[in-house]
Amino acid sequence: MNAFDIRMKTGLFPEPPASYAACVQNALNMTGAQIKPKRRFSVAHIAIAAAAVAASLAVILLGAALRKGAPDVRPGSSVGTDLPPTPPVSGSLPLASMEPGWTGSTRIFSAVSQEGRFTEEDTDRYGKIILSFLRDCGESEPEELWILIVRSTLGLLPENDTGSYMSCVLVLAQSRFEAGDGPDLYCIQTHADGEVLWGTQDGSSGAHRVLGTVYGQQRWWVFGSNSDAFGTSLGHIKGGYLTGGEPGTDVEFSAFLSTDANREPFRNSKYFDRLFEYYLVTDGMADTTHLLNRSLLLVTEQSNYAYPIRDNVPELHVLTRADVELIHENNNNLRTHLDRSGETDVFNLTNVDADSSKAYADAVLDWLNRGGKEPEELWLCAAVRFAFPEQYPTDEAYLLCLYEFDGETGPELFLYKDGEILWQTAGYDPYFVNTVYDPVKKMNCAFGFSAAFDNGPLAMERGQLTLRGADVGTFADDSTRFYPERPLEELSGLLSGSKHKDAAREAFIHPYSKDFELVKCVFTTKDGREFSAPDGVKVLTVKSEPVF
Amino acid sequence: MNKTRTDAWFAREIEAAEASMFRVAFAILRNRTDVEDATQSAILKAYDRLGTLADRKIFRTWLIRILKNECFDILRSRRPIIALDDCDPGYEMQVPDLDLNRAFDTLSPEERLTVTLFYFEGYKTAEIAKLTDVSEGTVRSRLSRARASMKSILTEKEQ
Repeated sequence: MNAFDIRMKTGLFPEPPASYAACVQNALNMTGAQIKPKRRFSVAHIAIAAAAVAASLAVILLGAALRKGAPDVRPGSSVGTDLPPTPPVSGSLPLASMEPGWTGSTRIFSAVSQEGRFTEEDTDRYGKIILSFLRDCGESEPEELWILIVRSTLGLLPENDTGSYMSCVLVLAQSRFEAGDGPDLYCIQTHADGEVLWGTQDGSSGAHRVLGTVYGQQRWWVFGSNSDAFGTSLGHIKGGYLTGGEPGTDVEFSAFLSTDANREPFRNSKYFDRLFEYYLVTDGMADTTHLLNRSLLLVTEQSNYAYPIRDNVPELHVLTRADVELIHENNNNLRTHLDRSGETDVFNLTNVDADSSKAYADAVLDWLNRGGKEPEELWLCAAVRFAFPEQYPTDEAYLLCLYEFDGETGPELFLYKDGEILWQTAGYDPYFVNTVYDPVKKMNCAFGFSAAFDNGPLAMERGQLTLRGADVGTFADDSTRFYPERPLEELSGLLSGSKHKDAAREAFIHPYSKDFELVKCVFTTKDGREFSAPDGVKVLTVKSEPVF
Repeated sequence: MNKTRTDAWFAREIEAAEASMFRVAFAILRNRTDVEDATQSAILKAYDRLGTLADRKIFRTWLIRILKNECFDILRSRRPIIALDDCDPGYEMQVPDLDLNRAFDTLSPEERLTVTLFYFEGYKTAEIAKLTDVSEGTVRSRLSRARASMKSILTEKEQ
């Protein structure tokens, strides 16, 4: 062999990268012929994965809401526990009240034809399929749709465990461009005219560079964007790795929209100046526990940033076509309005006037009744109109109500607007402090009852929330204060006719921007004692349908 | 052989062929995403058609042939594209000899495949001829042309 031949043999090809090995493993997984991973998982890992899957299924069967909105669990929601966060239910307005009235005027922009496999015709078609899906989901018509990344994939139908497969594409697209909106991932079956098999209904906070993880098509996908605007402090993302697993199993990926050429297709977009860098990476392993110990390393021009996959990244909910149909069906059923007997005793513990409290109570009872529930008593514990002055005058209000008194069920928050309830929390636990992301107002809201009352006459004097700011790692200088709705002594009098008056506590609600995260909550009682969260903080989900 | 044993055998063979599959697909496609697509399709097709394979001793060659066909299918489906620098750095970044790699890029996909099968996979020209559905003479001329072309580019660059 001459020198040239030797050079050919030694200098031409790299060793297959780890991501290629993952790709091969994934194909083997699809055939069902894979060799089981050598890695051993503990019973706890398996239990965690099973719990996550079970929770996902439960959430889907509850008829998850559909409209675009941030996931109801904010990043970091797994405070105080090693368990993965409960997959959130996307909050939404009832579909029945949404008549989108689409005109077909959405402008589709695409950068993916530059990758080689997919043409403008392909991406335009995918864009139209996604728009059709969004319309089916009750979304309002977006002004623009950006097709950002398209990847071929092969996968099993969710209900198909026979080993057969089908051809799909994963499309990362963005249709909302308000602050904090992020891209969504859609899986489209590519045969015939194609249809969306599932899509994430995301809109998660732009404050986090890793926007979401989702399990679909038998594998985990991680996707997101650089939260800093294009070309700012972080520098362009050059690429990244999913890392932290076994040696040699890192999965590498490259960023998109990281060159000027890639930006060009968006030149005529109304949102051109909001370009971000996007990425999409798959773990490639079917084992759902594989990502548990992994982190995402973004390599930028200036530095590297590592993000734990499980701790800070919301796991998004996947909505299937079947889910969409189920929710449509449920909403149709809900149009049948049941009459209620009107025997519920209403106790107004708030500072609002009698007319307002009656309107609020009527709306809540109407909402509960539509779900077939008529409580014996309803306590209107707290009511807060929106904290943002520019939104006045509005009829919108957060209402904190208690209507079940079994000792295990806590207060629920309702969003009231124009005589109707748009959603309620479904938290149930009487936790010290609850938080919820309001998908309608795009705000976070902390609420709860003071635990102090349980310990005797320790009436709350004031409380204080500490919020973490939008910039990761920095903290707001000023804490936000809130106060109990009513002094404890007054509550006792107001509840004198209640069968459950011993359950009285002091209530509070505090809305705050979605750019902030609640990290601490302190109550100070009149005798100077302090009680603090977040040990009791629990992030609740929103139900956009009456509770059955 | 029952299904369980067949599956285990298939998985072992695929894993043993992983590096070869990568080289063959990458030689033809030169694009990370396409390489992965082609590989996945080839594995799934091979699994589906395993029953049609008369002699398992030639599995590796049979698999490479399926992969080659998948790669050319993808190549044919490609439309004119705008070349992008560093569009897909994942694999290229690790290539040990960039000059050689760039010279290799100038070859036709058929020449790249032939060079890869000959130099890296150790196939003889007669075997390559069968695998690629061309005559042995064509294989030899492709090899010769490829060597000459690359030598010319590399010599020019090194001067």
